[in-house]
Amino acid sequence: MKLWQYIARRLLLLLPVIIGVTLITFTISFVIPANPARAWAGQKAPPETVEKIKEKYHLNDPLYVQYYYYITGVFTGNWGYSHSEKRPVSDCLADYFPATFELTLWAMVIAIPSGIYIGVISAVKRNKLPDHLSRIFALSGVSMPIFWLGLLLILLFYTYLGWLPASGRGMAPTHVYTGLYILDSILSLDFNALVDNLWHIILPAITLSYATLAVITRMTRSSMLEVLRLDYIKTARAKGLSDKVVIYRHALRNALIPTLTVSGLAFAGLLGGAVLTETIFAWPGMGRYAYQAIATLDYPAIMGVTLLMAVIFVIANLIVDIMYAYLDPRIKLGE
Amino acid sequence: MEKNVMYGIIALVVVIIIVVAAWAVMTAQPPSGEVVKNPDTFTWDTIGDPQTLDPAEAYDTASTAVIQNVYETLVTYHGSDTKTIYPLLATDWTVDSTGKNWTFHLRKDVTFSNGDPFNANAVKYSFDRVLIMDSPQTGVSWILSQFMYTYNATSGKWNSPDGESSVRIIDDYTVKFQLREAYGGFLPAIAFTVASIVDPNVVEEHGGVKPNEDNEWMSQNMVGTGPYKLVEWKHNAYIKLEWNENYWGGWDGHHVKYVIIKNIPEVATREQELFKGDADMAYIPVNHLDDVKGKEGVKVDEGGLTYNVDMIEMNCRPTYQNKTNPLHYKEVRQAISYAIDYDTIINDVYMGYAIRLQGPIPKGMPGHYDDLFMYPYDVNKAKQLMDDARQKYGLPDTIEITLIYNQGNDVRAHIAQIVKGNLAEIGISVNVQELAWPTLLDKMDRGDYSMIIVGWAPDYNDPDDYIFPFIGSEKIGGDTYRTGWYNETVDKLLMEAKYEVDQDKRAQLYKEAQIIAMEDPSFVYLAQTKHVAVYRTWLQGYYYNPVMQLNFYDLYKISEEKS
Repeated sequence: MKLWQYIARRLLLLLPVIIGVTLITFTISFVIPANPARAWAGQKAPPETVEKIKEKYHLNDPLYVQYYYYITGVFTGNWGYSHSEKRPVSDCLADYFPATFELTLWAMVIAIPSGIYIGVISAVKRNKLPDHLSRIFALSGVSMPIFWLGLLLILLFYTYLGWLPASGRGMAPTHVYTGLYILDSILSLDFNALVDNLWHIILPAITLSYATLAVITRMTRSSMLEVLRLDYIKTARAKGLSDKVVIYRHALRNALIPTLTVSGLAFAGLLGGAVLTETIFAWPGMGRYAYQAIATLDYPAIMGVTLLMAVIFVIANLIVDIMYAYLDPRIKLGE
Repeated sequence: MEKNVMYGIIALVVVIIIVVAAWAVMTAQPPSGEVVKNPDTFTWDTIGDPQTLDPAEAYDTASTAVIQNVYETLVTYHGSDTKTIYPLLATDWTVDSTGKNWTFHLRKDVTFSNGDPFNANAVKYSFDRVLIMDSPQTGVSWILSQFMYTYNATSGKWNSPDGESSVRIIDDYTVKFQLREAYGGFLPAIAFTVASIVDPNVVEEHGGVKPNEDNEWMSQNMVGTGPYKLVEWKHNAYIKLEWNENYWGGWDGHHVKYVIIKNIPEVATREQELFKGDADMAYIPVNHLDDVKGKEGVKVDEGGLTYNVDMIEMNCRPTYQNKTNPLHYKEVRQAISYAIDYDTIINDVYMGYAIRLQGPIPKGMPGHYDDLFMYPYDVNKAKQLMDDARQKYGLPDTIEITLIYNQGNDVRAHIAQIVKGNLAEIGISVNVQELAWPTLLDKMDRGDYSMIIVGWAPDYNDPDDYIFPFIGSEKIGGDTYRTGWYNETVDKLLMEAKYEVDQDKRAQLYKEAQIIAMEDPSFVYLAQTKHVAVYRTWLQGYYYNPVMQLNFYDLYKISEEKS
């Protein structure tokens, strides 16, 4: 099977995933006994307003009718109206998703190379000081509460050193094309915005990356240790190859497969919104939007976020699978 | 074994380094205050994002805070004064003896920020727009439709004798309001942002006015006559305003020219920005005030009393979940009112930043009755009343009830625990439930509850905005909290007071209603909160008015040495 055929087949599978995910989320959301129309209108709204909302959004219809309206809307580009923001869900997602995507991207840019590097060093220097330090570093990463780390970074780098800002994404570039401010400021040659945006993303990206970095470090370390024990590594060494070539070309490539899986899933997971990081650094992303949507039972928003996340997970997994084949020629796609 | 010891030592050293570093960072003094930062810009770190910027739709605090500084109304309040209504876009007004016909003379030197003229047509257009739109999202138009003629979307006509709206243009700068009913709270109601004047040209260029439909453009954009213009709104991040150079009030004297309202959910982040002077004002909840008190360059302004009130509503229906509802009996509700330790709630939950709420009309609002009876904390009296009720109505020794509050509300969670303990003393077993807001509202609507902790904030400065939704029955359009409480005399008094224009007579009517409501309580009246503002000492011109939002035009910044 050719690569494009494989990708097409996997993307086609999105369709049942979308229907399945929306159906389940929709049903669960509506099982909760609540009066969403009253919550959307506000406590003080007169009963007539609540009735109007029920009528307008088909809330009086049976569940399957409501689902029909929703799913046909989704496939025709209408993702519904977000009541907590009083604007279309697609507008909200267009605002918040790029913010989260940018933050996650930078967090992964920090986490993946550093995690792999520290993991490799740790495995190669097993039971020596670098290994102990890296294991303690990794252990702190998985066990440190993210809000505590975030606040500590703010205290140090914002309050006392005054090097970095504490909140927000910084100024919007003169032209916003993609919603990714750093990319947009480069595209629109707005260097003031570029510097401002880079400055703003450092602390939240470090905060968000730490836990993932720690997981990647641990994963790389353990799979490297396994690979380093294998015969072909001994053969490589016996052939007189340098340590660098043995470790980075022969061992690491094989050891990366589990790391890749973890990274792919972590990336997709973080895209769902890192509520704590977004809250501490006032980052206007998907996590806060999703939280607000759940608290107010803003169904269209909940559905929108879930749907987007489902698509992202499918795509992230697809990318990981394709990369498996690249890393290990024995893996054949679609077989 | 040796290896383990070494791990232990390394781990211990690292932990010590982290703890010492954290301790050093936390206890070190922040850099001392410097000269005023960004003297032309007021930066406000707060919580919440506006839901809409359209005055015909807005009903939440975050929205009206922006709207009030960009749009203007015909009348307003000045400073902290809630007693007097002052002209804003109107210069003066008269009312006839029926209280139904009001004539307003308008300012002639006013333009919208885009240069369009302000005139009688804009006034008529704005009021008509609110009633035609009849915002299907928030229903805020009810404030005007209490006393103005409403619009019939089907017939396309106004529900008035001549089919015209309440607002009539006399000449370019004179308008007449022909009210459906003389309303005692007319002037306070049109000081609220729903009565803001919008630019008819701008609205017509962007979708116009459609019955029962919100205007999406207007909800995201603003063109008003006020001192500021909207520059940028990044949802959930910030709103930027800049000065309207054409502002009729002029820019002589001290003012800030730029305003940035930042939405920062984490209190610690807001605090740090305030300490660094990057925020001029920050929202700090009362349980965090100790963090900011005594900090250099920071002022904690324990200003006035808000009109924000917290209460516990009681379900007064005869049955609840198909069983006899003990709270149906007045004696039980009185006993509950006696059994609650109000002082502990005020001191421990509100940290002293509240007073006892004295009945359904808060202190400071017209119609508040200073000598109204308040239930003291008297457990013996409460027990006595419960014993009487048990005998009289055959109630069991232990009564089980539910007490609900909304998820994530720490104040109410704390209150619920205190109340649970208090009521246990009089033989009432309380099952505390924390529910998501929409679920809570659903239970409230269906009367499926015993007690719910609720709160209310003002729309406009009139007792009708409080007492009517609280103790007016569903029959007359009251009972927003669905307590099921009904008293014919109270309904009569409230309806009479609503449409009475003589304020002394109204006060008397409200007094009578309040006395009845306290004797047969449908609410436990808990607390009226105090306002606390936290800002940099370089910020000047701040005042608090419980029925108005923060007025940016009156703020300015001077260096701390001069202050």
